[in-house]
Amino acid sequence: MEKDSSKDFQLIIEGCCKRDRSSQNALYKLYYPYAMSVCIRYTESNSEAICVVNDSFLKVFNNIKKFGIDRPFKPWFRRILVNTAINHVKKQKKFKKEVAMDEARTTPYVEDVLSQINYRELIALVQSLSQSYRTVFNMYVIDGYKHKEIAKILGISESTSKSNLTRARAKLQELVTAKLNNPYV
Amino acid sequence: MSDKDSKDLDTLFQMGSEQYDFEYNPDAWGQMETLLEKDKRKRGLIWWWLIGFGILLLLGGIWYYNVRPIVTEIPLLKQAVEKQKIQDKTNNVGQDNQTDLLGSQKPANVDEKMIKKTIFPSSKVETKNDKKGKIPIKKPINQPIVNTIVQTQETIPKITVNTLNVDNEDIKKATENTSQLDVPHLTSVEIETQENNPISSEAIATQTTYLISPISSLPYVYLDIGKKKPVFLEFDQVLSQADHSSFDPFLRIGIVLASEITAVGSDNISKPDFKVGIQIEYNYNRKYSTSIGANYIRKNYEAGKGEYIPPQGFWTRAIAPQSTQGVCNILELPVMIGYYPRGTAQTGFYAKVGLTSYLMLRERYDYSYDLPDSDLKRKWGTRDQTEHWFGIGKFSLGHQKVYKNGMSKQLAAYLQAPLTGIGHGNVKMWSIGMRLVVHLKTAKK
Repeated sequence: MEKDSSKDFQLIIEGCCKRDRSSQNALYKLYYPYAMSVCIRYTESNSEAICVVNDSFLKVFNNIKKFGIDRPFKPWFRRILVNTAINHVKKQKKFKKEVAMDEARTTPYVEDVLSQINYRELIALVQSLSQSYRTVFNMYVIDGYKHKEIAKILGISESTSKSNLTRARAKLQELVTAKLNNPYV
Repeated sequence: MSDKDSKDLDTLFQMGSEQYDFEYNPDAWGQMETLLEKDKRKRGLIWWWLIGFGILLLLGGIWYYNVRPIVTEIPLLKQAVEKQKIQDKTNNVGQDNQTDLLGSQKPANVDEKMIKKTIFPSSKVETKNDKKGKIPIKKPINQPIVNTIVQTQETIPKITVNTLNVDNEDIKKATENTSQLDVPHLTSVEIETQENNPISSEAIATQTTYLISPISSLPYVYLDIGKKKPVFLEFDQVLSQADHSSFDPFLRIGIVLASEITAVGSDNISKPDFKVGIQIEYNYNRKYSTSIGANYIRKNYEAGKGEYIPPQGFWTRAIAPQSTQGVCNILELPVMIGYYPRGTAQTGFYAKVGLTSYLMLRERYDYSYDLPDSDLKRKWGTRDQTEHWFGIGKFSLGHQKVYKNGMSKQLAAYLQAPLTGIGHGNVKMWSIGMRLVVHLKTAKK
């Protein structure tokens, strides 16, 4: 979607710089779905995700003047979303706990899974993980952080980060398999 | 789990995360608006704190450079006082006990390194030990001694008159002359009389600073000169300052320049607006004055939802805008009462309180809505010249500097509080700013 380069988008950004409420609303409408897709992975519920999304948008509106209009908005916004979500997780301080894992099972091919499980269900699987597993999994797999960075941000050791990831994967694999075997669960 | 399995799992969720299907949630936007309002209020409070701090800094700076007492160290006085001690001992005059340089009876505001400056006349002083480089002190024979302590601080200086040879007629005669002394820091002077107290070393030592005038038929005069170059004065010139019982009211006209910011409610702080005008001040009393003025200002402000309240039926389909930007040309007519603790004709701090009237010469408004409806009112203006008599309360704190040629300059911080709604939208606008008044002429009544 070429919304970053369109004139309308530029006008929206200029309006946000002037703290025009209608421009802020327009930007919110445009990127709300994307923001929710990022934040929902870090939270346990929709309402919690909305809080994180709103905090992120507040940071965007307060710092919109620092955003150069010639840059793509989405990556800048994504960074804010992920950082806000991580800060939200850190405040809750549950990510340091580790939960015992079950044995992992073989995962079917990706395409087969995606044809049978929709996005919402995948998200629900991620949300069912403990916060510590969920956070590390999201940061490493989806958002591309390295274990060293994850350890520094969350204040845990690298080995804890790696073990959490392994356990998260094992748990998800188990859940995906169970879902495929019994889609009505 | 094997690496392939891990990779497959990762890919699964990465691809899945790209297929989001969330829809816009109006309730979420409602929560967002609440956050935005809270943030706006918070930013507004920060500005008020910064402005208050800035005003404090400014007043502190003015006090530091203009009001605090200045002392300079003159080591020669030590020699002079020592000399006087010896002379007193020799003459056996009123010396009760030995005291050090500053004396055990030093005033409360004199510290151990307090300075005294003594300047003696060049040629006509007769002393016993008149050597080059040393400063002699001579106590005149059969001459009344007048000690005048003229402080640059808040205390009113006193003239201590030794009643040995000066009677009330002399004092009364001298006080009839009300010409102003040519000493910038000299304030009003009081007279107090002492009974036959000859000057002793303790008395000299306890003076903060003093100056001895040339010998003449009139008594000596000692003046505290602060940091300025001393001026030799005759007795009658000094005593003329003691005339504080009568005051000539006077009028002065000034040019006003000001800059202020406006806030509606507790937020929506505007950019600075500039004001220009004239002021006429009538100083009817030593410490009080009344002033009226006329100032022109082009005021910019923003009012949030609910802060701009026009007459009923003004909004299209009763839909009020989210925010209103106002630009108003205003003629401001302040009426103030001023209080000058150090005197209306003196350099020092002052306070003013009063009421201001706003005559709206022109009003222009831009209305912003959440809705895109094209029939909603977006702009409006009027030249109706609404009048708000005494609708704004005003308070200011400032510093006045009076110059020798009758000119004076006042710099003040002020606050304007709404007593009524202003303009078409009945907006309650607060203003805070800085004001400079230059009085061009002082005319006595």
